[in-house]
Amino acid sequence: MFLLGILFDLLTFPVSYPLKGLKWISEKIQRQVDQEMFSPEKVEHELLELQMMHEIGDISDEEFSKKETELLDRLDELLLAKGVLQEVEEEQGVIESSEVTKQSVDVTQQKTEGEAPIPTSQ
Amino acid sequence: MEIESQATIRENVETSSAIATGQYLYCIIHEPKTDIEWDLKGMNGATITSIHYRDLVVITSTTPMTRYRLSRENTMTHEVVIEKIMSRGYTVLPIRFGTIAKNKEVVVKKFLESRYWELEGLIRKLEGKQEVGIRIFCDEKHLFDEVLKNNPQIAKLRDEIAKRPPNETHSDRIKIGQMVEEALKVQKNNHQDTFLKAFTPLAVEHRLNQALGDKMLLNSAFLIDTSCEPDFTKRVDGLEKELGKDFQIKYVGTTPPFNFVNIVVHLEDE
Repeated sequence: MFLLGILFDLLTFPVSYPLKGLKWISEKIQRQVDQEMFSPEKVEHELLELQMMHEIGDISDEEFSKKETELLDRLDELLLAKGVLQEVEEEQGVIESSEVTKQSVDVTQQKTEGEAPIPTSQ
Repeated sequence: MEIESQATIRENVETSSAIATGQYLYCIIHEPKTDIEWDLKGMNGATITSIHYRDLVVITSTTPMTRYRLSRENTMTHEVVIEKIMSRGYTVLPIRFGTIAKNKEVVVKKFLESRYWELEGLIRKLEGKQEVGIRIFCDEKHLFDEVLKNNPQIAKLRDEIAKRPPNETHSDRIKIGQMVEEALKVQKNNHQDTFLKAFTPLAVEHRLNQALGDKMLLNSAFLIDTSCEPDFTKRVDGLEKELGKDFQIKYVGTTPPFNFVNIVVHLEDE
């Protein structure tokens, strides 16, 4: 089967090679897009942008609240998917599962890296 | 002077059904007295208390062991507590948003004891200094006009495109779009450099943050000697007059040094 595969590749080389190359490139681009679109850092940056737009009056209070909730939900999903958030173990008796970090130990720290939040007075 | 402190606190997980609350940490200050009533409210409306070790104090409040979402309401609560402590004349070391310790003893034993000299040193370095923030915005149309003025080739191509039918100018329109984008980037960088040069001589340190949105040209924080604040304010006023109505300056004076100190408490698995 392996030899047949090579033979097939050789015979169809002028056609298949560019196609495989394109597929490889498109997969790579897709991965890059996924990393950028679905990274917690990206969502945090969007949150900061949203806060700034609200501060300078580009969006209303209602619009801000709606979009902020959407972004915070997306951030939770991403953090959950990355394993930063974890379902709570029953015996810990803690509040809402989606809200609790796995660090039910001594010092816990929100693991989201990124820019410092906008100081409130700005 | 880049001041960054990292503290690592580790201890075995204790499985107990009683674990439901912890201590939310806001900031560290220097205060030898131990009998202070802070008379402030923090996250979830909880009363602000403090944890003492020698002459260091961590400002805290009791909290459920929960993760606080990065909402404006939560970040504001966190920052307002630190600002109010600072307004009482303390030099503050802000702790990163969302940091929760299991109890007071752990904060003392695993954090303050081991990091005492480092934290003391940071407070000393920041005494007599304050953070100010500057954001400068520009009307997009004004920026675009500047680009056309400074790049005659773009204006020429635009005029040529306008004379021809749209179906013949597809590639030229893409080309001009790219040219404008590139020229806007250069224009914004030039503005940013000019603005920074106006303020950095008055600052001990500055931090350039990423611009947010299309209108923002500068998003920067400056650590200044408190005695320099009147000069800094004058410089802001002067620049505002110089720039005119197409630009908007948002100046925030006297905030805790959020951009220069961010005490991070890492939790590592045993």
